[in-house]
Amino acid sequence: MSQPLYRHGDVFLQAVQLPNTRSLRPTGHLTLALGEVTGHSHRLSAPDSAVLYASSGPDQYLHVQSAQATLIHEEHAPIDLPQGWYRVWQQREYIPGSVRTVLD
Amino acid sequence: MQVTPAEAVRLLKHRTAPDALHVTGPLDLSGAAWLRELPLWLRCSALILDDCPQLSALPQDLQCDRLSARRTPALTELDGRISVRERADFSGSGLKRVQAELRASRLSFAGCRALTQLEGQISVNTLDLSGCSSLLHLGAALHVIQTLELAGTSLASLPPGLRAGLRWSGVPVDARFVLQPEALTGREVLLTRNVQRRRILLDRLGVEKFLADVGGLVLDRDRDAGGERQLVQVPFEDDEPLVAVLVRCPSTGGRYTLRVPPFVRTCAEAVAWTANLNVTDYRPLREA
Repeated sequence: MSQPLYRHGDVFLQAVQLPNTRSLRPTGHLTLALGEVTGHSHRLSAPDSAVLYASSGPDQYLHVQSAQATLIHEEHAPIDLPQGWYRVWQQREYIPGSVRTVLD
Repeated sequence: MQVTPAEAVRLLKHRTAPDALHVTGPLDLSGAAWLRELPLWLRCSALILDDCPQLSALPQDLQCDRLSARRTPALTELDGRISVRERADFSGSGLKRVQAELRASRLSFAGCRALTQLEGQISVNTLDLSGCSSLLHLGAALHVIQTLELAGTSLASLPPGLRAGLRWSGVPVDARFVLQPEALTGREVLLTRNVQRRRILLDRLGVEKFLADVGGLVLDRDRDAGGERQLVQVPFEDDEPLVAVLVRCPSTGGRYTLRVPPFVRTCAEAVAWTANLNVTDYRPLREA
């Protein structure tokens, strides 16, 4: 059975086993994605609840350290994430000849 | 003072470079984390300043054959007099304001998303402003002889005297395409025979408005947490068809449209593709 998957607008999170932390570096913030046009963001509500890491690829990794953390956005209902590690990535769309990431 | 490129790097690193430095070859300072500024009246053949994180200013008077200052986040302003015989490339820099006397054969500010002011006596053969999304107006003294690339810009006006050929991702376009994308129609897209031109028209118009204008063949429909989803297709002559999934956001109720590859045949497959997952793996526990 696959790991729990969450969709928050154009951002996906999937629970993962402990990733290889040697290739990760803390971002120093908890904003998973920032809308270029609106300035709205997918972020965690409590600053001490988690650590967000950048990886060598396009994915980010989120480590929820408290029992639960809440993912919020100006336009989307909140989602509660249980303690653990999550892979975080953006929705994509197709354009002939390439693929681009969606930023709402 | 005339010096070799290696000697010039040593002087610059020790901050002992005098003004009017004449370098007898290409000066490659790419990736120099220590570099903040350069001496006045610098002369060299090529000046490479890519990826210098702290570089915040160019000399007030600079002459060279080639200039490359790509990905220089601290370089926010350009002024003074810059003369480049061939290509001057500032793509991906942190430039916000350009108020310079700038001459070059080819000039690029591609991807300078913070650029809001482009003024001064700028005279070039070709100018690339693609991705300069904050730039609304161009200076009246801008002189572009051949082509002006504008993909990804949101310009509100063009200088009245501008005679350059306008390009969008390399495709010739007119001023209406650049300034009034809201006036474009789905019918225009369908009636455009040239494939490249049709693609950029569609990109400029947006898949959502295109489908609202012309409709489409419904390939599949089902329901998810947001309500009904539809997968629609519009065939094009001499090109792959447009296939897009229309979904509703479970939080806002707003509709949105995402283009997916032409081989996709069901809504579930389409939405899984947008998440870069197989349809069997796309089982969200929670969507909002």
